[in-house]
Amino acid sequence: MNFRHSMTWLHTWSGLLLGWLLYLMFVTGTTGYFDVEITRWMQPEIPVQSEQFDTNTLIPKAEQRLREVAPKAEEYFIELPQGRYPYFMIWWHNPDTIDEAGWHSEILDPNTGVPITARETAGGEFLYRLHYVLHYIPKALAYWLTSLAAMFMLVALVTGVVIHRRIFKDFFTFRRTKKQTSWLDMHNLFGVLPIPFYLMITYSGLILLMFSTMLPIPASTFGLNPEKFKQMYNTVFTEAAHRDAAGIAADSIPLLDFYQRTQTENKDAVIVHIAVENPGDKHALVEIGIQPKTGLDNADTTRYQATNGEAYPAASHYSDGSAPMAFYETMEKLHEGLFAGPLLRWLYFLSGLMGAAMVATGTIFWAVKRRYAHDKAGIESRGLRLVEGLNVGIVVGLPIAIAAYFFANRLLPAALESRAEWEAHSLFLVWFIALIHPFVRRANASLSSVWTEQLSVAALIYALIPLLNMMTSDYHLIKALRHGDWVLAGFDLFMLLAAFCFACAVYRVNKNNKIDETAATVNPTNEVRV
Amino acid sequence: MRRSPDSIASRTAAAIVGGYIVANTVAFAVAAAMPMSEADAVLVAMQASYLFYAFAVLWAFAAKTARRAWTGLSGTALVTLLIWAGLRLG
Amino acid sequence: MTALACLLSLLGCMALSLSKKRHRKEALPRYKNLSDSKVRCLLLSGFICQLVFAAILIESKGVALGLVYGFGWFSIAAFSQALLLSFRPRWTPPALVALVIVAPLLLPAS
Repeated sequence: MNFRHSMTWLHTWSGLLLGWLLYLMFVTGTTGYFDVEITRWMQPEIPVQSEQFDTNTLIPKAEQRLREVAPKAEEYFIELPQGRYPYFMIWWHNPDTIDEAGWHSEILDPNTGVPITARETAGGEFLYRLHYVLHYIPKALAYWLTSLAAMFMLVALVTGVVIHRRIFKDFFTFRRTKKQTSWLDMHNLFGVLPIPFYLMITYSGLILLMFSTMLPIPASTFGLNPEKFKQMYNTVFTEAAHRDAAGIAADSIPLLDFYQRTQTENKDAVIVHIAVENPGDKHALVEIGIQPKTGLDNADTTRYQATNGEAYPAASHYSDGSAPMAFYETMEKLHEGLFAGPLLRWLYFLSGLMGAAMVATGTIFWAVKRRYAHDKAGIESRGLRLVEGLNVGIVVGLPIAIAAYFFANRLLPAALESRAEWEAHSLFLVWFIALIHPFVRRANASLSSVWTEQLSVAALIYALIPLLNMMTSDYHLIKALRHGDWVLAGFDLFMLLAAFCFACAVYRVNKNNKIDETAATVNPTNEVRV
Repeated sequence: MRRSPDSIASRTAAAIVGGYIVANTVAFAVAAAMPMSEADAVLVAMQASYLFYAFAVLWAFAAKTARRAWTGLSGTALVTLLIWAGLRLG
Repeated sequence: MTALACLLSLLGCMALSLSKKRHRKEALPRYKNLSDSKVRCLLLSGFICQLVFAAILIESKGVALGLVYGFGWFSIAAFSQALLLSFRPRWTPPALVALVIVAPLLLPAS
């Protein structure tokens, strides 16, 4: 068996075996690029935000509220709903010595600064975390499984490039009309163009979990002593150097002053957060975070002494002096895309969806080709029926389940115990139904009908989401559009777009069906050349 | 495309298990050999290990026979382990 | 300047695709047989367009971000070119002309 044949075989099977897990990872990971925006939609108690955020009144209000709720905090944040983050929120961290230790947060009304109680929700973060933590299994196991899937993906990528002999000739080719070849063409189109993205996302994904999957390596240098490993870990993942509290109370300059000062010094800066370390102490530090225009960082930060406003040097990181760590952090930032502005984030999102489409077209192509060969030879295969059924249940079933998750967010009572868990359960319950549906229906219906049925359900359920929003919230699409709240409006509009895409798919499946039926009657021995 | 390699089970084991072992042993040697601080060397080795893994997997299936796949992988593992041991003890 | 760069990338994708006989047959049937040197010309100009596009992006956004935007836009440009050739190949010549006309309008006003 020559090299090309073995690589072809390897590409097929490394893609197929964990293809469905990869599809889940691509779909949920991709939604993660808008996780905060999704969470915002899932908390409809938050009012629409007007175009202008009144910093002069609202920042002092936030500071005042923090003094009320966090008198003993050692660190607090004010997140401003400018730039990427669509919330006006305060966060505070209480030291481990007092009762309410750890991080707490409160959402404030972006128009009045008054605290809002929003429903507990699993949010967009749950969908994002699904892509590497999975669900219902221990975290460590999930890390191993998703890393394994990523490894299979890496192999599929490399072998895919190796075997695609006509990669340049076929670069712009998409043969729409021939059934088998058009699935392969689609797989190639989705697979080839975003290769740089796929390589980056797969490799960075592997690296991000390397401290779970490649532990023998540090052990080979540091020995099996967990203390030494912890030391290494803490060295490379430095926290920004904290300045110790003096233990002496002191007044600080109002935060609004720091905000306005930054605004004057830096005319077109978008200020996204204000942080305070050791508030109320003589050694308190104020940090202003600005949305950076270039580079991969989340925010460009400057620190000042809280008592007198003098500049304070920036924190240093281990990666400043270490190229390997700098590489790690670059990979991390590229993977997470937190630095990305709106346009680039949509690009990330689109690329992620193309990844999902690449996997889906791959498994579908395999099934179509096998089905054609089996039909011709007159054999029936349980394995093939399983794959065909799972293809529908996963490729369409997962999106249906996600839409159901959004429905659960609105329909489950706001005061329900462990609400967030039940939202998650709803996703898997509906998915389970979608997975069984093809097998139940195959007895009486053709594969195309099964596809059509699920695609139609998907189109319907997504189209209903803006309606659901209107019926379960004061702040719906029309209001959002009128106020220019594009985060809120964008979600509903995207749901409509998704519904439209599913509807188009229904149309295409039906049209292809009619072509097949006519072809079968006209020429029963139609050959399809691969 | 019906052609499949011989000894699929053996090659798959070589790829997944043998590949993981080789990825690690090569990384051990790299971490020991890199002329930088221990923490940095370990970081380089860990990040590069997945590349080694990918090559090992391709080798497991590209080798002419399953036996050759295993020999190649075990050989690499042994040599790199020796290099690692030598560098650590020396 | 970024917009001009993106347009350049689009033009480049058109040139690259038209260097293949298969696509020329559908988009510009009159030119389906082209001499080797002319084909090489198309290929070269296509590549040069992409390089200039990349250079402009790297210049304005730094290496890391520039490459990210670069690969991102290139994927979109290539994908849309593939769709154009698949659905409306005859629209390629007018699309080419339109892009060439719009190009100077996007030059930054100095």
